[in-house]
Amino acid sequence: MGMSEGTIVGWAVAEGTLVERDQPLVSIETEKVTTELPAPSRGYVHMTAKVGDVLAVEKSMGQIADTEDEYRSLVAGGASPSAARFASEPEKGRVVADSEVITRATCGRIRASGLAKVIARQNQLDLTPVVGTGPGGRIVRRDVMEALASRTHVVAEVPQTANAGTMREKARIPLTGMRKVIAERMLTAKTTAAHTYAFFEADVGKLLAARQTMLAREEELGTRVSLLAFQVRAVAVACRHVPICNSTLSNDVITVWDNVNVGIAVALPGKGEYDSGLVVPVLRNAQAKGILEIDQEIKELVGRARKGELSAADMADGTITLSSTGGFAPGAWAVSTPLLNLPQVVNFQPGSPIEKPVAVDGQMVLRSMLPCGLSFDHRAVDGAPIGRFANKLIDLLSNPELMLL
Amino acid sequence: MTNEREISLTEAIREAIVEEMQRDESVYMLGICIQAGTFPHTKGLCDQFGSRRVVDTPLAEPGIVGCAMGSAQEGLRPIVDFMYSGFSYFAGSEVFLQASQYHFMHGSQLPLPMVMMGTCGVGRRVANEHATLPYGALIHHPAIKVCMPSTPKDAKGLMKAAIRDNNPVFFLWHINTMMLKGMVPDEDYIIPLGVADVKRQGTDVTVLASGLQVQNALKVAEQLKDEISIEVVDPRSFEPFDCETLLRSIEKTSRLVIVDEDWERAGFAAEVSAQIMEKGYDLLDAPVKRVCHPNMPIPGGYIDAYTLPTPERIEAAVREICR
Repeated sequence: MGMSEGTIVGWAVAEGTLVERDQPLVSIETEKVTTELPAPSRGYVHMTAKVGDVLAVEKSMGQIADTEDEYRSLVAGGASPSAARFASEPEKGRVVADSEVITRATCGRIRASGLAKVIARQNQLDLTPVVGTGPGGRIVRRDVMEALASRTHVVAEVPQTANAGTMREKARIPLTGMRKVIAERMLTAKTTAAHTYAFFEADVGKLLAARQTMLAREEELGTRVSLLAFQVRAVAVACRHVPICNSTLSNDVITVWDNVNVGIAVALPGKGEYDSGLVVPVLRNAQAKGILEIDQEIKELVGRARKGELSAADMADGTITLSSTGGFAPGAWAVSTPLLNLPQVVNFQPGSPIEKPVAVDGQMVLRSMLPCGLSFDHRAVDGAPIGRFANKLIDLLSNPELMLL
Repeated sequence: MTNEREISLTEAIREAIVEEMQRDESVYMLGICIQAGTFPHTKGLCDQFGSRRVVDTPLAEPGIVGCAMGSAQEGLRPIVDFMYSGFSYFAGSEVFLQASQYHFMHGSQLPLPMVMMGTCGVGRRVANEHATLPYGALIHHPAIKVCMPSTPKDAKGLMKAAIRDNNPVFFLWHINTMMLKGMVPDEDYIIPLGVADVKRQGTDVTVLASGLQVQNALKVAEQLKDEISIEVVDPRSFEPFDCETLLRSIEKTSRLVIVDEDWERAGFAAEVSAQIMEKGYDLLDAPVKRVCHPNMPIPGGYIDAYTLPTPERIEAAVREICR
């Protein structure tokens, strides 16, 4: 009692940890003692104060989110309407001292009148730090008006008032159109499928040589055959060997497809300078097409994608997706973990081939290696078939003549 | 040219009935002790219109309402006078179910133009059916219109609207407003059912009140005018209910106190507060507050003073919601 501030000596857990109620959370040093505070509730910890920070009593040092989603939005700096905040009254070793904070901690949400919420929303005001002065600590209109009046800057006035050290806004990209679709699909994929990943590499020396042979006949073929065409072909052949990878999972049914319709992720420029876009047109019946035909079709699809001429039908009925980062991946051994294109269960992600030392017959030699990533939905496919699928891809990419079979 | 005189609320009701009976021969009254003019609104009616159009009945409410319904079906426009509206409960089936739903039950083919009227209100140290306010129970039943004036001017206009309506309308008035004086035009005018009236403009809190409680709310508004600006809204009719006017008021004040002399549970105040929660949630800066009769029998006697919504209780609610 009588203390006015405390210093954070150490966090007992890492940022983002899922803590149980009463689990030791943070150590605080006061004028007299050092006390360990337990977590006031179960959830994911987001720290807003760091070790060494000196905080006044009842200032927030972090938030506990009920769910992972909520935690992500907290970290992203978004509104956090339902995150419990915690503050301290260290001498009792208990959390909170004041009815307002208790209300928040126990209810796990911000209490504000409907009108206060509307005004806050209209003015893009985050209510988290606003202290309610209404009955029971409710945030009412006057609290929002006061917070707005004392706000250091209004978004619209950023260019005039911003100074060093504050956040300065450069662009604002509304979540509409393609951006919105991407956001929704990605979130659904991430929160629905049991994403699991496998990484491997293939020695693509022979494949690159085969491609050179074709490039030398560019005029005759009428196209510069792309590496991507080989990869699509490899996926189609590999699916014939491990059919479960060419399937979709929806409504509690896994449907294994006979033909291989390969979705090809195509990066697009966004609407503005800072935006980007993504579409996935589908190359149908890849299992029945040769490399030349695949190559021509890819070029036709990508061309139309870039002109914005794809129809919904062009993007429908994919059974597996190929998300090559070959065009933009760093010139190093790099793969990523693409999200699945639901309801498909496999996404193959080849990177850029790099020359690197590998051991061959006890000798260290330089080889062109293609780093690859596979994302799969573990609800539908297990590790063993994915292992076979990866091995088949390695075999096909390393020995392109097998694709002739 | 319009001429306004100061008359009482019951005189205004009487004036409406007289004008309508003169205007339309199918209008007639039936009820208990109306030939003798026990209540001032029926005084002299029998002398003026004769006993064929001002009919005394036995104390048998189901029969009175049944008779009125039958005559309405035959083209007359009866006004049933219960004296105390609580007596209408004796004719519960006829009022709540038969008369109210007659039009709908007959494929919207047959109108049933009839008025039922009676006084109500706590505070005369009488209890039960002499005091109960039936509008909450009435509006629970679809298709019956219910209104209650808070001023003599509204009384005349609402009564005329009720008589001219082709549906059953229950016209109530608070017993403690009977002698309330106010300016009333001597001309023919109606106040439509379903149009609320802002009785006093304000900016801090809306008080919705009916009948006598409008007068109480206005008193509080006047007393607190230097501290809290109170807007007083009188719905005038409970069904149809003019929610729009109330929402417009709350848009300005962002707070609502509902004063309802009826029981709190499942009453008009409860209904309005639910509607405002549904339609006006984003307008509210505080939960809706009700000032009602507690959920206990109307005690009668001296204890009435402790259960009634009074100016003091309204003031307390206003102060609390404006904290």
